[in-house]
Amino acid sequence: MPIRYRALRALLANSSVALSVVGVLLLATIWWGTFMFAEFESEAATRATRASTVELAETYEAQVARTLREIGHALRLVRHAVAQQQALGRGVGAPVLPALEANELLPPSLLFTIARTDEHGAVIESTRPLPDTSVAGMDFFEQQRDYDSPVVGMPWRDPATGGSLLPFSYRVSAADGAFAGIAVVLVDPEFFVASFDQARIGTHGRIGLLGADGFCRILRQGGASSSGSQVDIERLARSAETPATIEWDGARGYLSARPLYDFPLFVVVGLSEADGLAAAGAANGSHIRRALFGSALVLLVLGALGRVGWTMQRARTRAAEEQAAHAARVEHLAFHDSLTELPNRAYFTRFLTQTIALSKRNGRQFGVFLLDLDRFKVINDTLGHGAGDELLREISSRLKSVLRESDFVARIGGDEFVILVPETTAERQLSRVAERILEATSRPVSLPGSEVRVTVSIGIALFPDDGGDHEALLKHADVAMYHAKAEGKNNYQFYSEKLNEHSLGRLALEADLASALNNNEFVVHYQARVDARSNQIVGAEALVRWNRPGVGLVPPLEFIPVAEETGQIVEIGKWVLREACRQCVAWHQEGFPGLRMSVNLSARQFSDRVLLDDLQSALQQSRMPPELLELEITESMLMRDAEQAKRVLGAVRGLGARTALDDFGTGYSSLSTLKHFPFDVIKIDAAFVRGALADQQDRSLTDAVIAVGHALGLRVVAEGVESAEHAQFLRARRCDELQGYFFNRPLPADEFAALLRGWQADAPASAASVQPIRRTGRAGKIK
Amino acid sequence: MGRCAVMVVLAVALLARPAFAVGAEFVVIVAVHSPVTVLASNEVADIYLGRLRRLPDGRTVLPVDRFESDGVQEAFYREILQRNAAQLRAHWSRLVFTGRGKPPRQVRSDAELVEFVARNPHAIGYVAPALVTPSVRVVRIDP
Repeated sequence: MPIRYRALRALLANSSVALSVVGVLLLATIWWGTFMFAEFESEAATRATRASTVELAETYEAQVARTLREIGHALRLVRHAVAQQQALGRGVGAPVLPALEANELLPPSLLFTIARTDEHGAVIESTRPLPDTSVAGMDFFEQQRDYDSPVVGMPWRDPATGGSLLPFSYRVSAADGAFAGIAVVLVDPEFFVASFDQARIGTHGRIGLLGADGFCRILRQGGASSSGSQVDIERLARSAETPATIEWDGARGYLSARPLYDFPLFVVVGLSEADGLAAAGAANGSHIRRALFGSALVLLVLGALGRVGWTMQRARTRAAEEQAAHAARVEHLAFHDSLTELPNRAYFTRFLTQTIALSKRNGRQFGVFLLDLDRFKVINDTLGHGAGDELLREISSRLKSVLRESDFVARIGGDEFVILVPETTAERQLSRVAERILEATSRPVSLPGSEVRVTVSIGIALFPDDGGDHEALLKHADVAMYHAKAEGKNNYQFYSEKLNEHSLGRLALEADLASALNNNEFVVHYQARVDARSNQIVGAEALVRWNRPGVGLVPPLEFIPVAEETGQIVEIGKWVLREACRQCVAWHQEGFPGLRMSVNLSARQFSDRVLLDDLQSALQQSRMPPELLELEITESMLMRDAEQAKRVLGAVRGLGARTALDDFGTGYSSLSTLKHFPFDVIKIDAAFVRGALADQQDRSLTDAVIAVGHALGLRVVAEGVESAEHAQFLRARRCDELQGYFFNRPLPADEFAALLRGWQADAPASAASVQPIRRTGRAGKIK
Repeated sequence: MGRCAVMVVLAVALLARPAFAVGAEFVVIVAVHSPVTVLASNEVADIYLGRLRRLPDGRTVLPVDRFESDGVQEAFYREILQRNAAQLRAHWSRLVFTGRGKPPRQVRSDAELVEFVARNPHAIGYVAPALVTPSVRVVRIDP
């Protein structure tokens, strides 16, 4: 992983505090900003409200001023018309309005009513009927008596319509200057505020006309209009340019009053801050909503980051735990045997080294036991690996059960166990331990399908007497163990120097044997099989010999059992099979067609799964006619697993080869079981043949065997024919083929070839001439 | 087919509308020499509400109204202007106060109105059908 990702991950994982701080800062910023903005907006709204107040006041002033100018103009026209009438010598009462109206010199009659009174207040003429026929006693009329300047009266209620009329009057003078009545324009005061609805002035805003006397002529607030209320005009007079701040029903507002010039009036405009702020408030609401949204977003993102960090942290912790568990598991696996859960060789070696070091310091002694299961390979081969494993588990648990806690048991090889018995000095004590082990392991073990009895061989070495380091101790325990095996197994032996020498010989043999195959040290010798009637050599039996460097030919009995134990026998057997086939085909080509070749199979080979493959490849490589190849197995191999044997034999015959039962009569099988197995040939054991001449019982048995063999349709071969008498006897019993030193001892290939050629020239004479050199039992064969 | 039926029904509904049957009846009149023969109802309303000062042919138009309120005026206001007198006054108050218009000229009687229209080729007015004289012509009002 790139460093920056790792750094990011570390940051995420370790920064819940940092995230919180960042979150708080962000939120604080958002809200501080929002409130600052709101404050700013609010101030702006206040400023805007004040500005709007001024602006509206100016606009309103202009509009009212224009209207008042028109009204003034109309009144002046009326006054002028009256003056003209008087100049023409007509009375003050002569009507002037119709002419003015006809010439459209008066304000629109739809909205404005123009009237004129005489000096007593009686209405002389009007463009529209008035509520009353006299205005005497009304404020504007009475004022106008005394003042020449224009007057604006209080609204005049019109009971007929329910509306009211606002009078704007001028004084009309007679030619002599005496008061001659008034000219008045009456207009519904609503006319001045009709254009200002709530949308323009707000709910709390006010607009209207205020008389210089301090009384409102018309004041619209919200949707309603009123008049008559009194206002401190002095104070308002100062608010023309800068609106006054006023409290209306607890709400702050800004009021501006501007004086007008045609009539003693002020326009009054007031806007409420609440209305001004409503827009700002709405904006604030949206700001707050935005801030809330932003906050939620920040919290969400930080929460997500926090969660990711937390998950990562947890994953990391879990990974660390898993790693630790894995390490422990690996450690356990590295130092324990997975099958039995016992410590393994590595663990044991370490422990032994430590114990040696400790014991050296403390001057203590201890014993090392090396255990090997007897016959374990056989069990493994015949019952299968599963059973073998089960057996090993059972044995290891039995070992643990008979040992002390302080004793250290380990499995260091396939069927090898080692036990370290610490702080022990007396051999007697160790012997008791060994006996307990022997007793415990020799009890029958129940395995799936069968019950087996295994024994162990134990070799014991002592520290420090038998070795000062772990290699020496183990080696010497091994030597003692082999000695125990040599002593017939199921016993224990203490190491001694003498044992060591013997065992070294065996170890050397094993070592040499291991490389013998690669070094081409094996040779095959051949012994002839002679047809009993024709006296012709019809076949040969292949017999392996080991040409051990520096020693010479090693008798089969000395190395075959070792090869069986180490398992090398399988490879050796395979080689013999191929070599025998190759040689046989060579002889066929040299002029001995039809020569049979017989090869022994070992127990291990026979149970080996690849036997058939090996057989097939040997036949193919050598181009050996299968029907000329004969495989020999012993009775004991049949008995280990009858079904398996039957199957393998059948398969061998399926390939075209022949099968022979070797050493017949020495095993435990009854004659009757023979018929269950697919054999072509039986070979009577040499022991019977040798005894046949002297021993009546052996003779009878030989008779019986030959008879049974024939009865079952098998070819009967007698081994161990050492003399002409033997041959004579067996021919008389109609034995089919003969084999033995009487004809020839096992010979190297070239010598056997010579024999073949000589035999061909003069068979019977040659048979007599080839005398056995030794008379000691049969030749070694692979078993 | 269906569409035709719908249109027929609509036409019948429109024709059957009691536009001039409720209350007093009125007719819109112009001078007999005026080229105006037909006006849309909303054109008449716009003329009386100050929104239309020239006819589509470019001629200025001079609406005349009555001073006194009577059934004919109420009917005209209701049917054509779709306002009552107070609403009309408020409407004109706003226009006049802000200097954006001038209300129709008002006359004192139907006779005066007819006479004014007869004399003035730009004028337009309304009266009860019975008061129509040969010097004025009734304008067809399309709904």
